Amino acid sequence: MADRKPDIDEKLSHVAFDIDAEAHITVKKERCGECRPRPCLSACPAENYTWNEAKDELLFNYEGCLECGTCRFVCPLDAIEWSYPRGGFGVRYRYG
Amino acid sequence: MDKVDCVVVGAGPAGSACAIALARKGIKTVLVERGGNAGDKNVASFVLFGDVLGGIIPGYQKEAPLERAAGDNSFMCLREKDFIEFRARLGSYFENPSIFTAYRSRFDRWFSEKAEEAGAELVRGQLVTGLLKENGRVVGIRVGEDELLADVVVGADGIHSVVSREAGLYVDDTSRYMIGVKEVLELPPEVIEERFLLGPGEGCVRDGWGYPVSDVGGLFTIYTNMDAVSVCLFAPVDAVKEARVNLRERFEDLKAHPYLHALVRDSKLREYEAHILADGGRMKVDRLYDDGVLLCGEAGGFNSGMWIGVPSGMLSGLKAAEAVLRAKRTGRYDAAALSCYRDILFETGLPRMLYNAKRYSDFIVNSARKHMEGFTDNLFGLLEDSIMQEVAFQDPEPFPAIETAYAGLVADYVPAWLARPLRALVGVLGRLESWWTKRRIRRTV
Ligand SMILES: Cc1cc2nc3c(=O)[nH]c(=O)nc-3n(C[C@H](O)[C@H](O)[C@H](O)COP(=O)(O)OP(=O)(O)OC[C@H]3O[C@@H](n4cnc5c(N)ncnc54)[C@H](O)[C@@H]3O)c2cc1C
Ligand code: SF4
Ligand code: SF4
Repeated sequence: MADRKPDIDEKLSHVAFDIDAEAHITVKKERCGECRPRPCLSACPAENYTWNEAKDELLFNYEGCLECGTCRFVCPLDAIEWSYPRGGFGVRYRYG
Repeated sequence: MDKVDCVVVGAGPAGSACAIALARKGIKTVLVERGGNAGDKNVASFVLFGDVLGGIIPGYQKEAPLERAAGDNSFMCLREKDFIEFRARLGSYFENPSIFTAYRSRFDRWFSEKAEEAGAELVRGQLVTGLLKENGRVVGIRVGEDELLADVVVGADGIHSVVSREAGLYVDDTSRYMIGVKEVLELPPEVIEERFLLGPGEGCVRDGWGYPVSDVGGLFTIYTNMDAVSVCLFAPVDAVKEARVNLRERFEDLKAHPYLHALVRDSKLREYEAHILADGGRMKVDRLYDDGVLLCGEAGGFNSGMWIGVPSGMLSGLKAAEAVLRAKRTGRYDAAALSCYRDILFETGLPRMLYNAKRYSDFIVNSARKHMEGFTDNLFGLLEDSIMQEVAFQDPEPFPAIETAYAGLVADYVPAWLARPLRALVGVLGRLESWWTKRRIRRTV
């Protein structure tokens, strides 16, 4: 399979969000150091989970969340506390 | 604290259908939706099979926000550079259409407004965070700091249903969960019609398997809207978890495939979306209710095999409403009173649908996901071999159809103990076939 890298920021720029000041998903990042193979990195369709090599820690960005819920099922260490955003906040699909 | 007859959680197809049916019978119903508008949060490919809807809103074809009538269906199988397609067009479907493409964002909103028109109170932009219970019995919902009491709560809150979890009815079976990633790709209507071989305003749905998700038994759909094509790629959640399948990259592979490329090249991305669904067969119909609570739609596992769940979701919503009405007549809403839901469901085709969906889903989970890659390769190999042999005219031996079909489509799936006797039998049948065909050739030409 060819290595075609999607430009996720470009894709997400076509999605409407009403961003809450409060994160709806929280990650217990202290667990991530031990974690292999860190399935959240490849699983999230919005690439909200990335690994910061310099700081050697997980970066999580709730603002671009598509609210699919995939991450809540993939974490082997139960580090992801998943919930929907508060009512009225979050993704607003126009062509869902 | 406020109290109503019934709270329906989630204004998707199931919840709105349920609220419409309840409100039409004069039941004081509140329909709570977390999206600022119903549909804001919802994603499907989306093909609407409209027969159930027609029973709720006669003449919906004229007023619902629909895109194209879909009377042109294809099934296909892809390999990296190849494809096999089976296309069926039923002219009568276009004359009196009941299958349409649409956008859930618009459709769900329209349908939820029908619930309001019927007399239900639609509360938008409110997330139900939990259930209120009294002696183990569900007596209402929590919405953040607020509470609302009800005789009965209907959970129509989809795949991540908080109602089913809090009521202890949730069945966790991620092996039947699929994640769908979708792009809505804008193209002028005439270009869509030209590329998809459609008349003006006509639409098609194309479903396929194989590349770029054959290794995990994934699927994809390509549906035409009026001025955009919706492409959706599905893979099992377990594959994303265990095989670390990256659907973002697989999506790019799909769009670069010659089949897709020819259809969507030079299009403009309109929206990028993702949502989970479950194959049917996860839940049991006698575990869809408890004291003061009922489940319908995706929250109750009412999905057919594959990804079709809107009509079955709507019908289960109507049946949940019927159960509430029956319980109301007895004045009791405990599990015993609500167990009529099960009997009401058995008067419909839904249990049969669930049975088939479970069998289909078992087959996918246990067998198809493991064998899809090999099967796809064999199918293409068979096609190549048979074409090449029959255009070169070098081989006086007739084409060994039995041997080839066995080797290509059956051999890999035969249990070990049966392999040798079956192989021997196929050998004998193959020789018979050859002898018989040669005899026919000599007598015919
Ligand atoms: C990618 C994909 C493609 C699909 N394609 C098709 C298709 O082409 N045709 C088809 O028939 N089916 C399709 N399906 C299946 C179909 O979408 C579902 O079966 C259907 O949506 C189920 O309807 P529902 O009303 O039960 O749930 P949903 O449509 O999920 O509705 C649930 C509603 O509840 C709301 N909600 C959830 N939690 C809360 C809460 N705590 N508080 C308040 N509100 C809440 C949500 O915002 C949502 O509006 C597809 C599914 C996916 C994921
Ligand atoms: S899968 Fe869980 S534990 Fe592992 S890196 Fe991701 S969030 Fe951390
Ligand atoms: S819910 Fe989906 S989009 Fe949001 S962070 Fe999890 S995997 Fe990513």
